[in-house]
Amino acid sequence: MIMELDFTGDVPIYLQIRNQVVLGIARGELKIGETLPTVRQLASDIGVNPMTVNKAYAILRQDGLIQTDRRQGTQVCEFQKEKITESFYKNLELVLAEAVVYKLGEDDIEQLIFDIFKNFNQRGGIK
Amino acid sequence: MMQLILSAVCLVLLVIVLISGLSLASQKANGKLLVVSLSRADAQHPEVGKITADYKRKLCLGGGLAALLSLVFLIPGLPDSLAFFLMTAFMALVLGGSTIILEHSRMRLLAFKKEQGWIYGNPQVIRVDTAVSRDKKSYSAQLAYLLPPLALSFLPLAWIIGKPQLQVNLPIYGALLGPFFMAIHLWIHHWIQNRHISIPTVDPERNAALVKLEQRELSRASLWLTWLSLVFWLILSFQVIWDPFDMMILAVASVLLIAVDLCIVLRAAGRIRLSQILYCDPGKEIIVDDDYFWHYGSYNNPSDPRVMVEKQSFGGGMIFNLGNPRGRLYNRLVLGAVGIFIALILGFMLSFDLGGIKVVDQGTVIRVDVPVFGTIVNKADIESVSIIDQMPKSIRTNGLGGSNLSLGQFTAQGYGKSLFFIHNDQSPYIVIKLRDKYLFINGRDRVETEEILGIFKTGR
Repeated sequence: MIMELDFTGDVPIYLQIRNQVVLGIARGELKIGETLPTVRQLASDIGVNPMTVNKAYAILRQDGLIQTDRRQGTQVCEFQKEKITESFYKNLELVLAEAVVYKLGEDDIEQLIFDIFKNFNQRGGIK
Repeated sequence: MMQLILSAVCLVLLVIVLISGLSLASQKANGKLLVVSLSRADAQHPEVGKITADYKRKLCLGGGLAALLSLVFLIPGLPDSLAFFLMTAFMALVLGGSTIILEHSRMRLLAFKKEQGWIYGNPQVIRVDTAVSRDKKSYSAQLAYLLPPLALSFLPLAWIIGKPQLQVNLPIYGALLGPFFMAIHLWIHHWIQNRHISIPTVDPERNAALVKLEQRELSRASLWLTWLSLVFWLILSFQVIWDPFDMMILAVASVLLIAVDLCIVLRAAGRIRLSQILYCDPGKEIIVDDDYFWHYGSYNNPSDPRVMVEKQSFGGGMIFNLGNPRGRLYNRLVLGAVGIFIALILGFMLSFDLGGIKVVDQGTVIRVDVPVFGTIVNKADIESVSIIDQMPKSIRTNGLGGSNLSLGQFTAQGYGKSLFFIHNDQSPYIVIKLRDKYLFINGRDRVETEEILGIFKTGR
């Protein structure tokens, strides 16, 4: 998976790393069980402090998207619906609130969601 | 001899700068042409071809002029300090001149690029391929393969520790040079394994294939160079221990080693370049449009958090990001250290060229005044004083072997441990046998030598 990080953007780098991994899993660019680079290696390649990558990995671990094993390293793990956190609902609520502000109806939102899922599936993402 | 070495160093630098400068005129895997980002299609434009041809012409012309200028080192009797100063000035001229030629052509290309409206995305976006980042270390030869040469490099040290009498030819600190250079090889190999690699395409499979080949070639080259360096070190150290006065085998070995090293490096570079051409897909290349952060070979991007970035101009390696406060600080420290180092060496050499050798009779002792290597000879220690017309073969153990002066501790063939205070090629030479060593001394000319001879003869 190719991670793209914008250093001039307002989004903190650790959050960008976290979002890129989530997008990568959804698009199928990161497979279940695939090992991610080590914190030090990724930090060195991006050119940031290892603490930044560590923070991103910690959030992903908390979200149940990755798991760290001493022998295998950090791997993408099977996601369980039960693990959906409260922050997910809050984020979704915020996105839908924005949609309402932009005067999008239920059908429009449904169509958008359909298109996004179609895009994920076309790339071989999680079905 | 010293002038020949300096002249050779300058010519080698000139050749390296010319080769790497000319290589900038052909497009690299990251799309850079004359340190300007261009897509492969845009690089085919005839005007781009004209600018690169003009750059090559100017660089070759500058190189020819510099080669002519290097003849100055062949002026006979050049003082060491002046020769060193000229070498530093020559290097600065070659590096500065080629950078100015590159920057001039670069600005022309940039202006043309702007005129054509060729823009390739946001330069502030950094791309990392997670698979490459994870696997690049495993693609290269293991660091463990370099441990045997490191261990074997201690052999000469073990030998001279076992036989302390051999330490006359090779002192312990000299025997530690081999392991030190092996450790540098180890560090370079570690750096190759972990270095930052720019992602060439948006296709992860191509990236993996390219990086795999690049890492394998570079690490194998590093491995071969390490083993060859070990062979050279063993030949050098055993030759110095065995027969320090005959360096013919070593000279032949050096030439062979440099030739084989060059072949290994060129082979690796050629294979990497070929793979980049073969694997590159014009539609899928990633071009980082960061032209405006590069000026005169330096990189200045305050938004880039990296302290060091890949060098784009002459030669490979990394340079500091001057937009980063830490990068700026390190850059100043390195430049300051280099400046101080050059000034110290120049001052050191000037002190010898201006000071010369002075001999003063002080009653019971004779003082030989020379910067750093001066000594006091007790008259009671002088056993004999004689004159020779030709200096014996010698090796320097702890002294200065300049083109005009030889000072300090040497081992002379047929004499053994000796102290040299010699103006080279100014025959005759005075040989003073002391209780535990020999002292070789002469003046700037025959008259001065006879004066010195008088002082030592009265002392006897």
